[in-house]
Amino acid sequence: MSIDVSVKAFEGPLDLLLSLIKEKQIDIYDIPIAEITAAYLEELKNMESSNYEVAAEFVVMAATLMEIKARMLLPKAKIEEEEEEEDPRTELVNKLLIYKQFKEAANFLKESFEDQSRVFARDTINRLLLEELKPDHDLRNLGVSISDLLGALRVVLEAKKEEEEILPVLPREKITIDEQINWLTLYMKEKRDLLFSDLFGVLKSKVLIVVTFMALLEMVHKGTVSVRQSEDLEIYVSYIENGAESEEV
Amino acid sequence: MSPNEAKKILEAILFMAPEPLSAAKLAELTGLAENEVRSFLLEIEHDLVDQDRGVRVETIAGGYRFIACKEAEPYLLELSQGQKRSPLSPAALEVLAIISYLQPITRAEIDEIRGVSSESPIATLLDRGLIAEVGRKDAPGRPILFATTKAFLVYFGLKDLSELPSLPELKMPNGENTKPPTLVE
Repeated sequence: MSIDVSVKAFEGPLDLLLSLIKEKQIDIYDIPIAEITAAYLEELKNMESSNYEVAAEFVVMAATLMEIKARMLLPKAKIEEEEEEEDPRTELVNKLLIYKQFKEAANFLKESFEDQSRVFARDTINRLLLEELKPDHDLRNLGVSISDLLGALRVVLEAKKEEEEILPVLPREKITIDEQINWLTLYMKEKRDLLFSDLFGVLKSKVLIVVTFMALLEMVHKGTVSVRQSEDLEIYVSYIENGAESEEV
Repeated sequence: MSPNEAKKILEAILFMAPEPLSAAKLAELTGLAENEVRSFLLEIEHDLVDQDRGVRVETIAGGYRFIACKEAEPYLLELSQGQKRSPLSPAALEVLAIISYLQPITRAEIDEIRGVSSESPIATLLDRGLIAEVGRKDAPGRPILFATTKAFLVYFGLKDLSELPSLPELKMPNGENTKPPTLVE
């Protein structure tokens, strides 16, 4: 299961089309539909073979392209009746043009952000000092930064790795996040406050640790537990009384 | 209040303010007229430049604030211990660009333009306070309308939405022209 890093990430099918148009130096107002369809399908194939899950939107666009291609091949039978038959490409081209402009506008915002990050005002420096260095102020109820939390998870997983090497291969466990939320709720109700490393230390396998970690994130999100980091950088998990109940009302 | 006193007080307020303050807000606080506030602030800015001081007055997001001079930048970076505001993802920037031009706008309309779901970038932007829900569209399902906030202007260092570059080719599928968007406080 190797992932081909050469495959670019596209925001969506329009993004991919624009990229192809740029790459092939195609006139957007006169798109050679057969050529672009072939290139587009090729790109989808690359995505699939690189184990990317190809989102439904990309498939829908492939169908649209093939439909346009088919319509362009059809003989224009009643050309006299309707004054001017619309080019089958028009709708797609309009969409591409609109999307392209917003991509450019997004670029403008990106540049503005970069310029702005060199400007210091009281509000910006306060935000940097207070909110990012002291994550207690984090609105998402995460009293600890994601990177520290992941760091703690990594430590727990590393420790487990050494143990697992000694153990024989176990049958695959099936654990769901919901199950772990239930377990964690009961466990935290009893323990109230405990160290992240102690909590995860009781878990038997890597799968269990990872699923429980996701359960923990979910519970933080719901406000049933909170995580915070002390001055000595230890991460604590605490049970919040009535956290879940008030949510369900 | 004498002009000198007024300037002194305005300077103090602006120095202490946690966010940009509008001329209207400063007028309300000081009892001065808005145009007086503006001209005093202009004088303060001139004084700062003349005396080559460490701060400047900047107009941003329809208000005023003090910013540090360029020369102080490396030292302030040191003070903030290299912490940088985390940048937005390309998807979030796209969504934000669309909202900033076409606000108020629904999620379905944003999805339509991008050709892909915008659910998670919208959640990120709401979380960061760069956009807000401003009401519901009078359409089937009464979908939520989103618009940019004052924090959006501050974040990108814009005085107001007219500072966004104009998009000449932009005509929406419904034939409506874009702009002028309204600002949400």
